[in-house]
Amino acid sequence: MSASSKRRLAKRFVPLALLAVISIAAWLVPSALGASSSVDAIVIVAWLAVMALLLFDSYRRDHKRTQFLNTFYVDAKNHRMFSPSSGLISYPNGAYLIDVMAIVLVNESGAQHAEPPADFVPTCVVETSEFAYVRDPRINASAPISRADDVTITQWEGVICDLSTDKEKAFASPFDLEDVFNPCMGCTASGGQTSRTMGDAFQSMQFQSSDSVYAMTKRM
Amino acid sequence: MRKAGLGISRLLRGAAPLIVAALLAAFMCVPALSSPAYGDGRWSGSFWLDGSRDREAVVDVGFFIAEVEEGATSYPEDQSQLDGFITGNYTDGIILEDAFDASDFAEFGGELYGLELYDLSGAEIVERMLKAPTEEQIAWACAHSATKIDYDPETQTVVWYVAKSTTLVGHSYWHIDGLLVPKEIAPDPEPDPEPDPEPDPDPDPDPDPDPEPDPEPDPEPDPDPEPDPGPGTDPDEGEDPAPDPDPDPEPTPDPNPDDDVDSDEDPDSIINDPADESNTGDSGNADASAGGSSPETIIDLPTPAAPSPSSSAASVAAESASSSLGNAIQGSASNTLSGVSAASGPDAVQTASTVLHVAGAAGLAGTAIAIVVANVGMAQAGSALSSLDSSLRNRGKGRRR
Repeated sequence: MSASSKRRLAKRFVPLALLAVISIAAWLVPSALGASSSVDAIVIVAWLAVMALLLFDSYRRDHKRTQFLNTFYVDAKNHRMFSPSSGLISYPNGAYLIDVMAIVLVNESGAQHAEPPADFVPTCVVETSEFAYVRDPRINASAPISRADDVTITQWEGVICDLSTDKEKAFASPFDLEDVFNPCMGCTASGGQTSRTMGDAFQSMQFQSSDSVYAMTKRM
Repeated sequence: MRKAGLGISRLLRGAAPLIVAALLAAFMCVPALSSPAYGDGRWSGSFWLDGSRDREAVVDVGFFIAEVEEGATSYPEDQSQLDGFITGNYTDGIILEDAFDASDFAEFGGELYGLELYDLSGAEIVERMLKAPTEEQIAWACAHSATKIDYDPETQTVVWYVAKSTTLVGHSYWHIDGLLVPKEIAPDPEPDPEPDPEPDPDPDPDPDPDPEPDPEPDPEPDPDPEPDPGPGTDPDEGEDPAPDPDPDPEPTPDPNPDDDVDSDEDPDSIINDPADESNTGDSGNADASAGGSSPETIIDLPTPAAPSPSSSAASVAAESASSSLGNAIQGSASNTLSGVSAASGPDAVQTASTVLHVAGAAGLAGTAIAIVVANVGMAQAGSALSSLDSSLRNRGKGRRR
């Protein structure tokens, strides 16, 4: 889970948790003063049970939504990639596409999703089911990651679906992704490091969101 | 990914609103559920215990006795007169188990709290009383009240004039209020079915009987048109607080007062009622009471009575009386309730409790609603993303074709 996602989750649920605790306390005060408590306990238990169901449902929906947001649609013929969370990205060199996807996954905020251009036609889809990373401790925890070498990817699992053949290939690590992805895309593997650097690829790579175009920081 | 848990998702999506609705309904029902006052009233404070009982059962009752103004020469005929009739001093509660037949109240339906049987003559009350405090119990309660009340069983009697059921924070109990009045002004609660052809002889005959009828009419006509036949009344009768057979206004103490009172009542059953209310005799909707407990237990409860807002004089009287209601009647350790002697105001306690419950319920419901709203938002976003995913995949597959 990205730092922004954690912050979003905290902002959403901490106030509710506080409200719930205060409400339960208020509900139980009369019991503490000698009123009948059997119904109170039943109400609290019932409420907790309902909350457990709702929170489970909430977690499941959020997980599903996050999976959609972390899906990348690649148009290998036009060197473009679309992600609902980052918009359209043009890449001149497929060798660095994986790093771009990693940065997108790290910075995923769960905000509004982007819409693809009408002429965008993907050739393959990269679905991410699990993604975990460790930030460089020197990087501010709240700052977005702009370089792939600022994080170490510890887990990256998913499926690549080749839409031209409808075949799916699972991968369970960044190495697997490269091994599966590069032949599929006609790219050459650029190395075997777990944490890859984007290097000079940032010089020419542009991220195009639905309403803006911005260049990533050039790495010196 | 897309199909995993789809069935569960649909199930939860459909069930979540129902669950929330059920939760809200439960919250709305809780106040009613938590404050049942069925006619049984073991003072257990347990909803489940109370709710499982027959609402037509006899009930335990707390008897409270009000002191009347000294020198009262006539018994009050209505509420306005009653307000000025009592001093505001009350005894602590004398609690007797299975002392009142509340089955008549079942016809009102629903819960049996907030009900009232009001009869200044006491007849309606005594008719349903299965037990009454003994003279010893009354004397003990009068002597141990916060403000000592003088009680002479030879010259005074108690007219039980109102029975009420009240509830507070899930507890319910019944109490009966009585007026400690001189026997000569007390009404006869039980009309004599047989007219007495002979006037009841004065137990203390005048050595110099006046041959002339008393020119002074009784300032307060006896509400009982039939003179009492005398001592030794119907044993089934709960109490004959003050037979007043003599039309002569001269005081004629009952030679055998309260003989028919259930005198075998265990004195240990005298316990302190944690609260009383104003003995105003108004409609009872302003009842203030405290929760009860099993007589076998010793509990501390916030007590006493708040005056009825609808009655000015009686409200003041009840307010001063309430300060004494929390005092435990000594002498029965196992059955004594230790109440709070200060008048903390059960209305305030009840209001605070209700407010806390409402606030807590609102908070819990609000939390649940907020999560449901968040889930709905996520469901909509997930649906949009799912549509986008399907659209893009179809585009890719369309290129292949």
